[in-house]
Order: sequence, then structure tokens, then C-alpha cells
Amino acid sequence: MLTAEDKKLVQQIWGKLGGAEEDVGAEALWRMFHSYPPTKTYFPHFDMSPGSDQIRGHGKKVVAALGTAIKNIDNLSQALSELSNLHAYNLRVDPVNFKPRFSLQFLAQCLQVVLATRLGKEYSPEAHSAVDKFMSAVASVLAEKYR
Amino acid sequence: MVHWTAEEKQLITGLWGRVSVEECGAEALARLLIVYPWTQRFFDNFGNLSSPTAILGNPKVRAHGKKVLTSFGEAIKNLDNLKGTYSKLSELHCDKLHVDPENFRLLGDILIIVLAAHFTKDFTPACQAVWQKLVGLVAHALARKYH
Repeated sequence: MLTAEDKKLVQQIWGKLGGAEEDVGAEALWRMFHSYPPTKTYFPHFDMSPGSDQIRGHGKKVVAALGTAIKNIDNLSQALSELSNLHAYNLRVDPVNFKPRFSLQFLAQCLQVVLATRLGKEYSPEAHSAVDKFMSAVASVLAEKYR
Repeated sequence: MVHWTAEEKQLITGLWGRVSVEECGAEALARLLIVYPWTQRFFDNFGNLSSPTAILGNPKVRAHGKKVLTSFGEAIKNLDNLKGTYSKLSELHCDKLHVDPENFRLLGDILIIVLAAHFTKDFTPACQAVWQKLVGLVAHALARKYH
């Protein structure tokens, strides 16, 4: 469960990105495609070359959605309701036995790596913990309607 | 039989040469205990684990973190025989320590984030991809002798 302190930390960390959100999103996706090649199967129509417009565009979308989630951190279920429907019914990104480790968790790992490379020491254990919990909560909401 | 390209090996050993096993190990284990507090169940005799600060400063955590990462260093010296390298440790973790192998994957991901925070820009997507492969294989090797 996200505590008040967790929520504050997540908002703080997000605030430190200072306009680089788009880059962060694109980089997280790029890292995900390279560390977890099966995730590419959800984007067969994408140009996968470095700096691809599609990756940038999609990264921007993902990060905007996370930004919205962070602004509505007290009601993730509602804030992400549309996306939850989309992932469950249209995209059907595999949840792999419904344990927390599923494709969306790979994106969470890569997003955290991007945050860590940009923030270095500032990505403290407490911040790491808060963001990890937040991304788990986001993944849970997105998985809610799978069945 | 795992296959490593020369480039992959270079990305591993090149980075490893710049890692302080003691600092990195301590940090990784501390973060495991902070971010996934249920893992503290394996360390009842470690003393004060009551807060992130306590965990980060705990000498037993630091010592054990160093031990764990030193063993990781052995794997890096034996990239072509991870199974052999971890055979005994796998039995130990199953028969004596009773550790759910899922914890190896958690620690692996945490190690990646610690490396990312430490090396920032130098922890490139290519670097991350190779290291994710490595931690995955180490986790697999450690789980191999479970019965």
C-alpha cells in the first residue's frame, strides 16, 4: 500500500525530471526492448532503430500516462481506468501467470534504471522503494480487468 | 549452454572492474531489505532492521552484502560455467536456507538499479541488457538444484 510518504517521494522524484519526461519514456522503452526482447512482440509495426519516431512517440504517451497517474495518485484505479480497459481487452499484454512479474514489470524495471542513471545518488533507497511500489500499483490496476 | 559474445563479456568485465564489491554489495542487499521488506525474514539475527537508515548502517547487512557480491564476482570469472559455479550454493539455498528463488530475481534487479545509480550515463542500454541477462542466468543457476 502506498503511504503518504511514498506518494510524496514519487511526486518529488517525478518533479526532478524537469521537462525530460519524453526522453525518459523513450529511453525506458528502448532499454525494455533491449533487455527483454520478447516485449518487442507487442510492437511488430514499430521502427526499432535508435531514435525512432515511433519509440519516442510511444515513450511520450507512456510517460504522460504515468504523470497523470502521479497527479491522481490517490485514485489510481479511476485515473487509469481507460488504460486498464485498453490493456486488458485490446492490447492483452501477457501478464504471465498473474504474478507481479509480467511484461509491465519489465517496463517498471527499465523506468527505474533510467531514473537511477539520471538521478544517481538522489535515487535513494527510500525513493527506489516508493517508485517500485507505485509502479506495482499501476501494473495491478492495468491488470484488473484481464479476467 | 549459455552463449556470450566477446562484446557481452567485455561489457560485464569492463564494468565489474570499476565496482567496489563492498559498497555495491552492501547497497544492493540493503535495498533488497528496504524495497522488499519481507526479505528480512531471512535475517532475523541481523539486529536492527527497523528503518532504511538502520538497514543501510547495519554492519551485518554490509558484511553479508559484500559476501553475496563477492560470490557474484566468481560467476563473472566463470561466465561459461555458471551452473557449476553455483551448484553448491544452490543446494545450500534450498536445503539449509530455504530461500524462495524468486528472491534471487529480486536481488538481481536491485543490483542493476544500484549499478545504474552508480555509473549513471555509463550504464548504457547495451550494458543493462547484458547485465539483465547475467543476473537472470545467475538466478537460474542458483535455483537449479532446488527440489
